[in-house]
Amino acid sequence: MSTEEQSLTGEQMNSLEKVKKQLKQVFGETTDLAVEPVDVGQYKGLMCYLTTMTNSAFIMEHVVKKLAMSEHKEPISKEETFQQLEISAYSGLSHQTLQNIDDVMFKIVLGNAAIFIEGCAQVLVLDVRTLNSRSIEEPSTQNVVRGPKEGFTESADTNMSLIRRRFNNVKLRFEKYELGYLTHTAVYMAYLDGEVDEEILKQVRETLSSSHIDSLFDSGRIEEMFHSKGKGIQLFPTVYSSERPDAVCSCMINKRIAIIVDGSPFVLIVPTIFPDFFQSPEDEYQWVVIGVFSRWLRYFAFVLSLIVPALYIAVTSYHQELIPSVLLTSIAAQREGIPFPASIEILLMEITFEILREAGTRMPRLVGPTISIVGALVLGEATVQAGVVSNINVIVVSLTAISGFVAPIYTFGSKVRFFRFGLILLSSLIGLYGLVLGCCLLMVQLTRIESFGVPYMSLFSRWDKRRVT
Amino acid sequence: MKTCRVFLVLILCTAVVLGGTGCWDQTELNKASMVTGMALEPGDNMKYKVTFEIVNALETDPNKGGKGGTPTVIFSKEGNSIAEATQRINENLERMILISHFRVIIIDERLARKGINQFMDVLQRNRYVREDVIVLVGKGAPASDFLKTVYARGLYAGYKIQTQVETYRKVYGGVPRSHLFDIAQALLTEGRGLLLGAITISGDVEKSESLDAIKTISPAAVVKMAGAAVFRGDKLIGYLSNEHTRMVMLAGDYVNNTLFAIPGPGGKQTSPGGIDVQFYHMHAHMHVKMNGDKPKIVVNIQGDGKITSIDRNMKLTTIKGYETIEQMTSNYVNEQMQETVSYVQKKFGLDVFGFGQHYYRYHFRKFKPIAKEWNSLFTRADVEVKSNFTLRRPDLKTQKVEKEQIGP
Repeated sequence: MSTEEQSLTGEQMNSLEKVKKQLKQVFGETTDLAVEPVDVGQYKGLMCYLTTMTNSAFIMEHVVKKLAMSEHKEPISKEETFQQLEISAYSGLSHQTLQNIDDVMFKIVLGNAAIFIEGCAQVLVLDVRTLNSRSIEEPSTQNVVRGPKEGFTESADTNMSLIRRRFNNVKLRFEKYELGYLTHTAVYMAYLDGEVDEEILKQVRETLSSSHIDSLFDSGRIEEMFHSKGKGIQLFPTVYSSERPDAVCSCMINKRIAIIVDGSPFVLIVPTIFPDFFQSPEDEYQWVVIGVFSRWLRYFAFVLSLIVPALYIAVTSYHQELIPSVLLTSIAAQREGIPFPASIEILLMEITFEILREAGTRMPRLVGPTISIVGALVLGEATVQAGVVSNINVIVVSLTAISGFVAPIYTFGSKVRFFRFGLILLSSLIGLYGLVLGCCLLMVQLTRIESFGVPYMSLFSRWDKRRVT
Repeated sequence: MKTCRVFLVLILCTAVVLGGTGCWDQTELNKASMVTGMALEPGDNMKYKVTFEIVNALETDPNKGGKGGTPTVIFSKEGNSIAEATQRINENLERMILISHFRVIIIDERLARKGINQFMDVLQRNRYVREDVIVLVGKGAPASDFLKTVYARGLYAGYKIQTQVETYRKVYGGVPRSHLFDIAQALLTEGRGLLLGAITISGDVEKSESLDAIKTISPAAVVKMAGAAVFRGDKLIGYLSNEHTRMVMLAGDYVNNTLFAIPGPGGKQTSPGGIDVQFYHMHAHMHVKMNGDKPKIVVNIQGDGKITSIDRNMKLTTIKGYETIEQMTSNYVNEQMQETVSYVQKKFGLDVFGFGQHYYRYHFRKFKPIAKEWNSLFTRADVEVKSNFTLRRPDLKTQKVEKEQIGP
C-alpha cells in the first residue's frame, strides 16, 4: 500500500486507467467490487461500489438513471459537469466530494459508490448503502406483558431511529465513534444535551476514543471496557444493557448516556446504579402498587437466590435448634438414608442445575425439549427416588434457580449466581457465621462500587453531584 | 506495608473463625436424632433414671410412610446425675442426640416429693434446652410410661402431650402454665407456691407400647390432664383437681377462655335444668390488705361470654333474662372460688394463688416483716370474690325451643 499511487491527488488522478489499477491494487481480486465504465455528460467516467453493501436495484434507480439524464446538448467543461451532477442530479442523495483517493477507498468500504470523471481531480461519493437487516421484532430478553413490543436490531441506524422516534426533541444528540482498527465498527453515543452531566460525558468520550481494540462485534466488549475502568474489584455489573428502546429512553431522561454499537441489539446505559437491575419498563406502565410490589418482589427473590442454599446448609448442619420441631422432623425424615452431607448434596444439585442451564442455552432449538425431559424427569425425579438427594434439597435448589431468573437483566442474575457458590462454601465450613460474614463482604463490595463516579447504591443515598469526579 | 496489613487482617479473621462455629461443630441431620421428650425417675441402682423419646425420623415422614415401624424409640439410662445419664445414652443409641427440640420434661412423682431443685440446674443451664419447654409431674405412674403411650396419629408422645397441655389450658384453663421459666420464677418469688401441670395415664401402658395399640378405636392407654401438682418450696405435697386448678388460675388472671356449667335449681350439681355459659376475654384482679393480723383479700373477676345451653325455660326476650343468668353465673363462680380457696387453705396451707406475691409487689414494706409467716396468715385469710360477667349473645336461639302454652 505504500506505492506512489497511494499519494496521488489532484491533477495526477486524471486517468481512469490509473484509477482502475489503484483500485485493483487496494481491493485485490475481491469479487464484490464493481467497477463500471459510465458516461458522464460528454466525458468518460467510472463508477465503483461494493455489491455486498448495496443492491443493484437501488443503484439502477437512483444512480444510473440520474446519470443518463445528466447529458447536455451543448458541451460544458468537466468542472461544470461535475457541479451539475452534484447539485441537480444527486441533490436528494447524501453525497460528498473528495479528492484523496484513500478517503474514497474507505468510503467505498463503508458502502458508498464513487464516480470518477476522466481527468477530473474531484470524486463524487454517493451514499448508496442499503443493507439487509433483521426487521424490528419483539425483544427476546426483558419481556413485558404491557408495553411496547419493539426491540432493538443489529442495525445501528434502525436503533437510532427507534430512539429518535421516542424523543421528538432537538436536544437529542448522537455522536459517532469508530472502534476496532480492523473492523471500524460504528459506535454511537446518544444523550440529551443539557441533561447529562458534562463530566460523565467527558469520561465516556475519552474511554471510547482512547480504546485500542482490533474488533467489535457486540456491545458486551464495550461493557467490559467500561466495567474494568472502575477502581479495584467490582463484583457486580456496572453497565446496564437493554434490548428495549423504551427502557433506554426512560434511562436517558434520567440523565444517562446510551451507547449503540452497530451489530449489537443490546444498547448500553451508563452510569448504572444497583436499583436499575431490578427495574422493568413495565413497572411504569401499570398501577403503581403492582409496580412497587413486583419491584420489591425482585429484591426479595434476589436475596433468596443468594442465601437460600447457604442458609439451608448452615441451619441443618450447624444450628438445628433454629428450625421449628415439626419442620425439622420432616427434613430429618427426608435426609434419612442420604449418603452425602447436606453441603455436598446442595453443591451437587447446584452444579447439575448449572449444567442444565448451560445446555439449555447452547443447544439447538429443535432438541430443546430433550433438556426439560432429562432435567426435570430424570434428574429431578430419579435422584430423589434413588435416594441420592432429598426432596427438600430439590426444593431449595429449584427455588434458588427460579429466583435467580427474576432479575430483569440476565447478565445481573448470571453474575450473582457465582456469589451463591461462595456463600455455600462459607456456610458449609463455618455455619451461619460464614453466611453472615459472606453477606457482610458483599455489602461492603456493593457500597464501594462506583459507575462513572456515581455510587452504586445511590437509590439508598442521594445522587451527589460533588462526588462525580 | 500493604502485605503486612493484609496478613494481619487474615490472621484476625482466622482467629475470629476459630472462636466461632466451625466445621468441627457440624452435625449432619442423618447422623443425629431428635429428642422430643424426657422423663426423669429415681433409678433402681443409681440416683436417676433418664428416659428419652427419640424420633425415628423415617417413620414420621407422611409421604414415604416409613416401613411400618414406630415413630419413636424409648431409651432409658441410669446415672448419678442427669447430665451423666444423658451422656451415657449412647451406650444404647448409635446417634448423637439433638436435645434442642424437647417438647416435655416429665418428672416422676417420687422424685418430685424429694425436691426438684437438686436437678433443675442442668436443665436451666444448658443452652440447648428451651426456656419454654413444658415441665409436668407424672401422677400415679412411672414417668417413663408417659412416653410409652403410642398415639393413633403416629406422632411422638412428647408432641402430643405438649399440644394437649397447651390446648387444654387455652379452652378450659384446667392446668397451670408450667414452662421451665415458670419454675424458676415461682421458686424465686415470695408469696407464691409452685404449681406444675400434672398428667396421669388411664389404661394399660404395657399394651400401649405396641404399635397394635393404635389399630383399635379406643386407645389402650391415654395420657390425660390431672390438674396441678402443688409444691411447697421445691417438694411435691399434693395435687389439685382440674376444677380447683381452673379456679386458682382464674384468680391469678391466667385463664382467658372457659366454660361454667351452672346446676339447675335444687342445689346439687346433678339437678336438672342447668345452664352453660362460655366466657372469653376473662380478667381477674386481686387486692390484698392486712386487717389487723388477718389478710383481707378481694378477687375481682370479669368476663364476656355467651350462652351455650339453657335446659330450662327462661325468658330471654328482655334484658332481665340475661341479667338473671349473669347473676346466677356470678353466684356460682363466687361460690366455687370460695370453695377452692378454703380447700387450699385447709388442705395445703400454702398460697398457690399468688396473693402474697401481689402483696409483696404492691406493699413491699408491709409484706417484708410478715414474709416468713405468710402461708400461715393465708390460711386465716378472708377472701371476698366479686365477679361481673357480661353475656354478649345467646348464640343462634333466643329461647329454648319449646311449645308455647295456649289459653289460661
